[in-house]
Amino acid sequence: MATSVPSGIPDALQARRWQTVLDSARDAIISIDADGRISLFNRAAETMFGWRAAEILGQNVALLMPSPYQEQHDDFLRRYRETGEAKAIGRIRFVEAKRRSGAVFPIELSVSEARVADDVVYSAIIRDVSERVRLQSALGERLRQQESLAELGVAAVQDGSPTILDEAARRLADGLGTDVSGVFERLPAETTLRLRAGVGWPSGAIGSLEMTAADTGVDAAMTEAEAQAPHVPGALRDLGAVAALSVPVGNAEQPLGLLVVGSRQARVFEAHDVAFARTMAGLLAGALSLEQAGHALRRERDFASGLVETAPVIVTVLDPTGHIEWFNPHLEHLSGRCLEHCWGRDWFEVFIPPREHERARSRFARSLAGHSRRGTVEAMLTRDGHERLIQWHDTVLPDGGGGMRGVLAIGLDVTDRSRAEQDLQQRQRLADIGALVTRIVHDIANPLAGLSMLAQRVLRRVERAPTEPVRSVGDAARQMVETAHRLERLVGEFKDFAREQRLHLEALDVRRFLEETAAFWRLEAGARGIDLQVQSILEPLTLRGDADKLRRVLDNVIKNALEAVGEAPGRVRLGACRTDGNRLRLSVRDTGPGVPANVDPFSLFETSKPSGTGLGLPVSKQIVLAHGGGMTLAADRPLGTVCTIELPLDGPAV
Amino acid sequence: MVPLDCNVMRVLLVDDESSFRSALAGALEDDGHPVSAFGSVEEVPDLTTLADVAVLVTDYDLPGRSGFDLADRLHATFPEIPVIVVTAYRNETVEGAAAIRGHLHVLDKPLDYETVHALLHRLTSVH
Repeated sequence: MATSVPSGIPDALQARRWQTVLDSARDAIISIDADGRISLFNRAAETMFGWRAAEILGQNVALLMPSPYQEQHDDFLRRYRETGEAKAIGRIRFVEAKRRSGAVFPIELSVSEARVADDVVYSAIIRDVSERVRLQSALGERLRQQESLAELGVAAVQDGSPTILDEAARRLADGLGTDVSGVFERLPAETTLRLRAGVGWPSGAIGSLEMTAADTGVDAAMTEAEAQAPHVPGALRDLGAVAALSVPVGNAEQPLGLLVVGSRQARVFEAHDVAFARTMAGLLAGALSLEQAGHALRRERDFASGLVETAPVIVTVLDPTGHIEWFNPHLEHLSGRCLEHCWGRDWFEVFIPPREHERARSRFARSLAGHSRRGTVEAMLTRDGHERLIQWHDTVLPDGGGGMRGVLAIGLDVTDRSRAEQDLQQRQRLADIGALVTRIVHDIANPLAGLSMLAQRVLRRVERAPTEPVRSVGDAARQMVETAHRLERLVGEFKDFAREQRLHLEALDVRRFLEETAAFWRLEAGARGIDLQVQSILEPLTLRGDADKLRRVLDNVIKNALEAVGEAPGRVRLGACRTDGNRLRLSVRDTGPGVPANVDPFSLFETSKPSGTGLGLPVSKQIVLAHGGGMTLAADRPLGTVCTIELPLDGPAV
Repeated sequence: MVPLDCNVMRVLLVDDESSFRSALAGALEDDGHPVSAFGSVEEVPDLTTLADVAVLVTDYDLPGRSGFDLADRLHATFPEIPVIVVTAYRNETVEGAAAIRGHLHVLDKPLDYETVHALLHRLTSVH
């Protein structure tokens, strides 16, 4: 044989290296033999399943599956051996697996088959996707909760009827996915609360069941801390609840009552659950104060003033010509505009972006004609020039004489929700494109490899015999090799794009991260006569993020900035600051000519540069989105472009 | 089996991209290495008739059986022959399969002739 390696040693060496590779893999890797017995179980598999390799080697792999797969797996294996009909082999499947504790969790599974001599080995690469699944369902739940609030908000404002309480109780239980919910009213001048509406109570309880304020778990001040660390009131414990959430209705000094939900399964109420309950309480407070104020108040001009001062929805009244009669404090707060300054002004001129004027007016006309708007989402302008997305529900206000005196519009701010949806959609789209790119890259890379190798061979032959007649052939070959290299780099960029964005999070010192990145680019900046600096960062900031991937983002943005400035003397500035308490804002400003108006720099393959692939920014944005952040590019004042990257300091939310 | 001079080793080359196969085979032959080249695993004859093979260079993604299958088949008989797997698209399946086998060299396509040549040299002449 063509090797002089002494037998014995390399096997041991190879085995050890092999083991190291396996153990450093992040995915669980499990091999089984033809009978389903486990022959390999790497370290990631130990962590994922809770079994030690030593305990599980030799056992049937069905042990790692929940019913009914556990019972069926031997049959699958046999059928595959007999018919070659594969269910799992050669594709990625989403299935469930079982930990040692019995807990079932979702996985992504890919199985391959190998033959060693006459033996068959099936190897599976397994990824735990429970986090991803949880994230998706949490987002879905939040969207449902907001729908629910919008509908209740409309009901609350349109009629203060007693059914609003039943409605609220039902939606509260649905929105939080709990078994028990209750709306308790505080009896005036007493420390007792009475159940007015609810879900999951025994018959007769509603209207009669009472509990003392002391047993509510919410103290007199009804502090937020109480809602976060819930106590289960006795009345709910009697129904078997083991976890509860209580939120006061109305202001803390003079609460009108209490919203309570209970769960028979142990669970933690997340921040968004608490926010949902609190918003619902706000709506109810509005409805209840309306009810207490009586019908007279609702009938006439004073209608507006008694309405939902506290509700976290927009309430606005327009006359039939679209002029502002009234809006509530929530809109003042959201838009930065005072009712005093807006009263009598044209709604559309004040609040609607000019490009939407025509559409908004025609929708308003339709509302007046009786086709009320339900759930349409429209852009609204704030005083400082930002746009919010508002979901509107309209109702025509009759004037009592068969005509109308205007339109009541209820709006819910869905900006954040839309942004979350768009980001999710964009991630999905990028993933789809990634799959397509994978195929294309594969199809291109193979012939390109052939072309490149042919050119290299010609060049080598010519270089070995550099006589005059072949010199021109050599030049041609050299050009072919260079062209092939350029194509190879392009293919490489596509590969980078298609690669999955899995993050390896670590704590990063923001200042050092920026300084190091800037230092890397300073040479090139200097050669172009561009001054590249990191602006002073006021406080020490630590970011949880993937250093390599974020470095790629910054590299891309800085490279773009340098190319934008070109050869002319100019400046590029990197900055960082904390915003909204928990977010980091990174900015890269250049003094170049700005982004052309007709190019969306984040859409794939768009580029304003003659040599760009149009992949740099989409890939960067993909990375930022995966971190739970956002990325924008805008004109800077007085000139140039500013690229802003916002990231949660604590890393992507789970 | 006669031990070959390290500079004259037979390379078993399997790749379904004919331009790549013929160019790499040609370049290796220019450097004096005999090459047996095939377009698929199924075309490779009984391995015992290729006893002078010193190294296997195979594409991963082949029609029919994969390059890994061929590596497994080869190693069942000649466990010490080094294997270089070339792939146009390195993904987790490839990396996982390589990790499971451990002792394979994976190179990305397109590739530089000098890289292959240097690796072949290293694999067959270090001992």
